[in-house]
Amino acid sequence: MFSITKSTESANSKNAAKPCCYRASCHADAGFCSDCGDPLVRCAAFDECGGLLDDDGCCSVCFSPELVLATQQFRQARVGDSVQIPLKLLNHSAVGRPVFVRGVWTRESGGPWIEAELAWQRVEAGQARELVVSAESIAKSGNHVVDIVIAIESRWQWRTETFAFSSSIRIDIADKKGDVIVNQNISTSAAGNQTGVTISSPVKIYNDDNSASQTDGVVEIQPLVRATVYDQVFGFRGTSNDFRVKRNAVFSWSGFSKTQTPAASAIVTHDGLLRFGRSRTKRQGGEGDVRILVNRNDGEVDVELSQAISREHFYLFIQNNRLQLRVVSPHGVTVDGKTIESGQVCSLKNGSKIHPLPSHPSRLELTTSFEIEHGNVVKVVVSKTQ
Amino acid sequence: MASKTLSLSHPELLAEYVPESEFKAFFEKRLATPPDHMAMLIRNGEIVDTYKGAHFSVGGIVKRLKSLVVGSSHISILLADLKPFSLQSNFSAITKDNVEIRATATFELQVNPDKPANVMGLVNTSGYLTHDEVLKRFKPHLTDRVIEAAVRRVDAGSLRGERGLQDHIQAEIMREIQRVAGDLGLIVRAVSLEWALNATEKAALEKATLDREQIRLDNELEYLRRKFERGTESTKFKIAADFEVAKFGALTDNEFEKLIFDQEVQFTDARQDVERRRELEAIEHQLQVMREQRIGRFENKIAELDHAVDMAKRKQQISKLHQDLDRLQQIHLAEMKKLKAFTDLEIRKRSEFLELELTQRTQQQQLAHLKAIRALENADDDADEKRRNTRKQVDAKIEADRVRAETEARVAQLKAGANMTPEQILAINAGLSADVANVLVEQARANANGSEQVMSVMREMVAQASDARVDSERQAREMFRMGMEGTVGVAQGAGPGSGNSNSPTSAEQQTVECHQCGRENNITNRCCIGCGKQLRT
Repeated sequence: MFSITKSTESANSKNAAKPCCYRASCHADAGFCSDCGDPLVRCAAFDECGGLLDDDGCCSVCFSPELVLATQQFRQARVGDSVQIPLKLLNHSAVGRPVFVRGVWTRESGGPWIEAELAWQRVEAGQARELVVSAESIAKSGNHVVDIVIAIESRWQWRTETFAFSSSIRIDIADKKGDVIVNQNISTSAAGNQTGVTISSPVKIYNDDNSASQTDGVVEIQPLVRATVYDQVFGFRGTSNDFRVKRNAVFSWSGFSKTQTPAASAIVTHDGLLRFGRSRTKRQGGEGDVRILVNRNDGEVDVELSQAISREHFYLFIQNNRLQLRVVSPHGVTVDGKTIESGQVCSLKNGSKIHPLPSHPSRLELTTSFEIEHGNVVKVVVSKTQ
Repeated sequence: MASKTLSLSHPELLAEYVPESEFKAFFEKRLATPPDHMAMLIRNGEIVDTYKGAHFSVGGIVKRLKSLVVGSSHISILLADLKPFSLQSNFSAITKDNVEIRATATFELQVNPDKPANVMGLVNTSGYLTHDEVLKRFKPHLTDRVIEAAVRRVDAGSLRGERGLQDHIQAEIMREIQRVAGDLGLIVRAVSLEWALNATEKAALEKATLDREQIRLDNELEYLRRKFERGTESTKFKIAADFEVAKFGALTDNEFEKLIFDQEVQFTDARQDVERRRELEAIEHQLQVMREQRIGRFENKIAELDHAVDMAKRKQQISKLHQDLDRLQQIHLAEMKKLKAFTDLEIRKRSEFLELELTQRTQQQQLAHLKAIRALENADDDADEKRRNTRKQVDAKIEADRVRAETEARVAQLKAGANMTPEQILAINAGLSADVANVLVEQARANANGSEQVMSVMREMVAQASDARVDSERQAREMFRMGMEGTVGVAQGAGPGSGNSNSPTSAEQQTVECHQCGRENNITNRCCIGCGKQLRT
């Protein structure tokens, strides 16, 4: 009844971190691999998952989804009826990280995307949740394809990462004795063991009830893969300006002394945050990453104004391929003239101006500028002017 | 000759030409004018004389003859009423808040006594002037220019009683009539407007009426409610009082006052009955809780006392049992004595022995308790002691094995040395393995010419190999390949898991500083963990 074929695709990107980098990341204070020298770009939920991000910024530990065909029952439909395809979404996270499905969209034969209604969002690790995809009325023989895009989100404290995964269902239709026989081929990737299986599930469509006869067939689902294009199309990741700030973008500093900033590199802190504030940097034996102080005209530190800067004033971090700023200081921060209150997050763009002291904007200003290659921001320059 | 008094033919007339028949006659006609009228004698269109409250004569044969000489002339008499007269007219206008109002204006007018002749200009073609004609003539000038303009400035609600507005309107009307008819001999003495009820005022009146009605109804309701309460209270009072009526006759004044006071108290209590009942219920509940608590405490105490009583009874039973035992023992001894089984000395000894045994047992029990407590306290110390002993034994065994192994190795070495070259013996004696020794010998022979030089080179290499703790053939070859440079690092770095973990120069404990960022790195790191800079090839 069923035929099983191997599939080599994986739901996750192949550009995963190297084993040596995983070994090096065991040291909490290591920012670079001691063996290959690559930056250790950790997942936001590294404290829980211990994962490193691939080139797309996806954590293979947090995101291990698999889409399989629910074959527990035989399906049949009349000619002209829509075919319901029951699927199961599995979460193979090995460290118990749940994922959240933000939405499922389907499309047939290049038509418009239609969002499927889901009554649930959360998929626990090791759990499988069912969803049903509808194919429109099928009355002609040939191949019908249903494309699926699933937006899956990982959450950690107040941070989220959303990725689009896509798959497609191919439905072969043969004309036999007046009946339209539908062979669904659904092959899905098994993200956990890096192998995929193709499960066949026959679906029979009747011309009438009396002439129906059961027929075997091969049903095929394409493996669930990362869909970077749909990230941008659906607006899950990246900015409206059609560029992406990738997680491994290099941060360089201008206007700071050498000890007030980390080395020019990607964000290699254990939680992926760059902490801006008055406290000393790690190079100076403190806890912060970037030290911002107000200087007078003669170059000396203006103690009074500098004390108005909190020890942790705001965070810079990259989330969903966007450079974002979260305010920690109770006094707020002005970004491009707009006041951001404590606890709020805003996206930064090329040329954004940050005023950590809203009451004295002229005394301290940080500017972000991007260097973009092929739509990817490869370098973020943070300039400090007074 | 009597005079004929001239008068207006109708009360509504203000001025009138006297008909010629009144004064044209053959003889001279004597006429008189009342004091409040004025007669104007007009000859050929010219006022020749005016008479106010006077007598005058006109006509007659003499005048007729005179006219025959000098020519005829036309004579007429205009009689005007000089009394002030009143006119009323209705006006309508729109107020500031767009409410239509109606008003009745009252004008007090008078023919100007100083210029009575000017009234002639107002007389119509029929030869008279009525009051209504005066009003019709002026009304169009007053409606829009004066009254509507004035009313438009105020709201309907504030119209009534506004004397300032009345004065303003009067002044404006006076000025307007002066403008229109001042030269015609009319003067305005006063103007007043009487406002009709407008919509706003009607609404206010209706509201006031409704409010009054509401107040009346509220009062009526309050009255009925009080009446009902009074009825209820009086009923209660009556019911309460009926029980005492029979006693009234026999009561003294004091008792009567007390009774009245009691009735008042009951009367008040009746109204506060609910509150008091609730208070009583709360107090009752509290009392119930306290009672239950006390009962619980007493029950606990009784249970404790019962327990103490039981304990005392048990102790009594135990002591009784001891006494019975002693008594049985004495009986037993006595019987044994009777049977001559024990002598007195033996009995005494036995008794002492029993006492001693009892004491010993007691002491043993106490000791056992103490030991148990001590064992609990010193369980860890005992375990440590046991471990120390075991370790000493193991160490001793290891030492013995080591000595035995060394001895055997030495023996084997000596046996093997019989077939070895001196270089090999040198290397093996230095603690190097046979494989390493072979490598060293091979290299020494390759680098030396004579046998003495071989031994010299060999000694040098053995020393270096010993320092580097080379213990495998691969390490030895690597050492030579690196030209003995950086001996320690190469030797240890090339031999992961070489087993020298006890060495104080273990690689894991050595660090190197990154020259770019200054970060301390483990010496085995190829790259800096602080900046990624390559540290070594």
